Amino acid sequence: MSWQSILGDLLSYGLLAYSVILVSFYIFIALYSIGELRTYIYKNKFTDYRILASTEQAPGISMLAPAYNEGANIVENVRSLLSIHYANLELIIINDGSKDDSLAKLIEVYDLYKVDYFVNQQIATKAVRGVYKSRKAIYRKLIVVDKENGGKADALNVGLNIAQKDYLVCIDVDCVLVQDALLKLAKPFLEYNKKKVIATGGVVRIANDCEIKNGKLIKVNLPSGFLPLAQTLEYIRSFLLGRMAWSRLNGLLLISGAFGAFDRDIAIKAGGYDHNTVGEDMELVVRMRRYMEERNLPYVVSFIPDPLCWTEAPSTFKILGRQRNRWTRGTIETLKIHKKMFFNRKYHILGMISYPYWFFFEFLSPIIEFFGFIGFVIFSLLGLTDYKFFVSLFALVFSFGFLYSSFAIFMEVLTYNQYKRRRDILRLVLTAFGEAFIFHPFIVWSAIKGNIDLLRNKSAWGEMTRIGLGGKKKK
Amino acid sequence: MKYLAFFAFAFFIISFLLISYVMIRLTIRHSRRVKLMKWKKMCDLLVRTAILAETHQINDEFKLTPRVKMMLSNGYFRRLLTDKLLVAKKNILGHSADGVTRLYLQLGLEKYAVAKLRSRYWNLKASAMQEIGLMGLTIQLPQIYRYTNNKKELVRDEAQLTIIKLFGFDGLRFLDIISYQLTGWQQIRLLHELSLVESENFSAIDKWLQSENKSVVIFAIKLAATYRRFELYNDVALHLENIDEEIRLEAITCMKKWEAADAKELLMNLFPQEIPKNQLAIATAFQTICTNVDIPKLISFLDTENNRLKYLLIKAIACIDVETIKVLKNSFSPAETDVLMIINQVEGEIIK
Repeated sequence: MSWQSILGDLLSYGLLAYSVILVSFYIFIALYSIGELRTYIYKNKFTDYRILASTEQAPGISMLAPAYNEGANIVENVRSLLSIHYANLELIIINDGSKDDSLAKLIEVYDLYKVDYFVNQQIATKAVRGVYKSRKAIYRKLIVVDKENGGKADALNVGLNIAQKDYLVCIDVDCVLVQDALLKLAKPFLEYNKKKVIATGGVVRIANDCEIKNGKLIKVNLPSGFLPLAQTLEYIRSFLLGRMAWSRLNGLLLISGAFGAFDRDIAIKAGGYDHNTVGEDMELVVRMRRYMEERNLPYVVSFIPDPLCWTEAPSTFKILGRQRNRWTRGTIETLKIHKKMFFNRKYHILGMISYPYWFFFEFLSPIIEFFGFIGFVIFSLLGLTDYKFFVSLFALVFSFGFLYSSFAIFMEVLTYNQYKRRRDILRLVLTAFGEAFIFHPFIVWSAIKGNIDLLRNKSAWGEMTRIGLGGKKKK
Repeated sequence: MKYLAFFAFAFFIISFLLISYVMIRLTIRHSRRVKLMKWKKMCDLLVRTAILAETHQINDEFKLTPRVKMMLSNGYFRRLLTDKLLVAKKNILGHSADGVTRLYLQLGLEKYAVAKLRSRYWNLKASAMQEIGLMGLTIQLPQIYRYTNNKKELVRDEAQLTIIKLFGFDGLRFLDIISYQLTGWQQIRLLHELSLVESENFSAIDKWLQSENKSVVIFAIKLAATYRRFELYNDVALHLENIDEEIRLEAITCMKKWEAADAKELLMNLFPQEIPKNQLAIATAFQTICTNVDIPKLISFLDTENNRLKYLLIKAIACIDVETIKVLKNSFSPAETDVLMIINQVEGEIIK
């Protein structure tokens, strides 16, 4: 046996072993999520959230919405956020040194004036230029903070310093929240006695092509473009299956930066958002969990499957590539910062399952896939490996990907059923079939670029040009 | 390779089955759409009849068409009708609500609720109790009462709420026996349910204040605070020194709600050794229970690193006497920017 054929066998069987483990993990996640979803739906079927809206016992929430050059839609977005049903709420808009007229518009429309405000610098941030409140009682929940530009993490940290309530809800200012989003997000914080709920994540759904009026979601439509459609399917898989299963395991590492709630005290004690990573949302959750683990404090990171937050997904390869590049860098940076936890029993599920899963199947997966594919092609051309084996392995991985997507569609129809037309479901099925050839390779390529950019010390956020849910183009 | 091909094939077959199931389900739903609309209209009509029934018809039976009676054997229709009746009952009061209950009983829907209550599935049990509670039916009470301490959280939560719905404050006797903790959410629901019934001079709070179940003690303090049971002052005040920080916090909140000036000395003595979270609660309470004579003591508490606490203490001082903070402002050197900023903020808030 020559060393070349040994190498060929190593590659073939190595990839096979990796694929089998990956598939097994995904099967476990899919099946494990069922119980959590069912329990949640049974438990909340008759919940009257109005009770929480009116009671003085409702936990106080500070909603933090950083805004940078959002002048085109800022007034409408703030109006939409102010209309959310929740009594014990303060809405903090952080103008992160916008170069446009965002602040001027807010001052004019909401009749704001600069107040003396002591910013408690519990976390170091860029300078705050001013804090504004409204003269009109109807906008008493609104606080606008004007600060020097420092990026999203810095803006959120200013929000953390200013927030007065016990819980924080961090959102992207251009997200569309359903009216009872905060009521549903707040409830898990009240549901545990023996453990402290340190964070709650909510489902983010794709709003492209949905009907939105005055910042409110009027009608859910399936996106028409292929990329938003593929992302819709991806989000269903990720939120409805993945995160529900991780939540049941109490091993959730990521709460989307677009919509998540945190215990303010723990977030501050853990040090707030990290400026040095582009994956600040994941990094904060990991650090909060680590803080609790290192002090042996019982805690939970919960997740709710209701579709509460709707956001615009990138609709061009260019923007999608930037986004996925950033996500990859964020993941790697977070794993690097917290490498101490890797297979560290001291961190229980976090160290023994969650972290290794992210390392092997989120960080390494695109790398193995990319180089495995190239290796196979080269080895097959050189006759060092059996191409039939490659085709069989590809068929296995492809068929499983299709099965996983089909199962996600099945669960979606059985639970929240946002897309009611048979035509929509068929389009999702076709997308599940086609994504393996277009969407998935592109995502893998973007992740590889993310790895390369990280090696080259590129830390740019990446400009996210959006068409806008109201149809206006914005950056 | 054979195995790989076999698994790939199997995955495709399962996918196909799943998709087929989804499509058949949607097709059936689509084909039943017209029928469902008709059923919904039938249910709406029935509910409307019940709501609009005249007061003098209180003992009369509703006229039901043979079709309605026949349709009741259809499980889906029955669930649809039950849900509509429950929603109506939840949102209306008085004779109209009584009409809804009468219709519910006339249709014999309670026997399905009883069957659900006996089910081995916890979600059905919980749903049955919601139905019974909303309709105000005094049936299966021993069983429901037993469920108030059931190991399944949703079952015991619904049982507790049902008992309150049926018996008001008297129903709270389940607090004597529960061994599981009441969650914050359940306490909110119970307080809400109690707010809907006539407030009576109910007893036994003093007993619950001594409970070994921590959540019962916390709930009892909330009850004492909400219903202003000042005669329990001594019992609640004892909990200001409880070993459990959450119970202490609830007792502090109660004192604040009561504006209990009597607790001032005790709170001031406890303040220095309290945990930061409870110190914040005490500082908030100071805003309503302290007077001019307490200002020197409050100023002495300002010697802390906790800026949030400083803010609340300065606000307390300003609430007592706004002029004092002007004097206070001059007592700090310009280098102490943090505290001066806090004073400016409080000044702005108070003046506004």
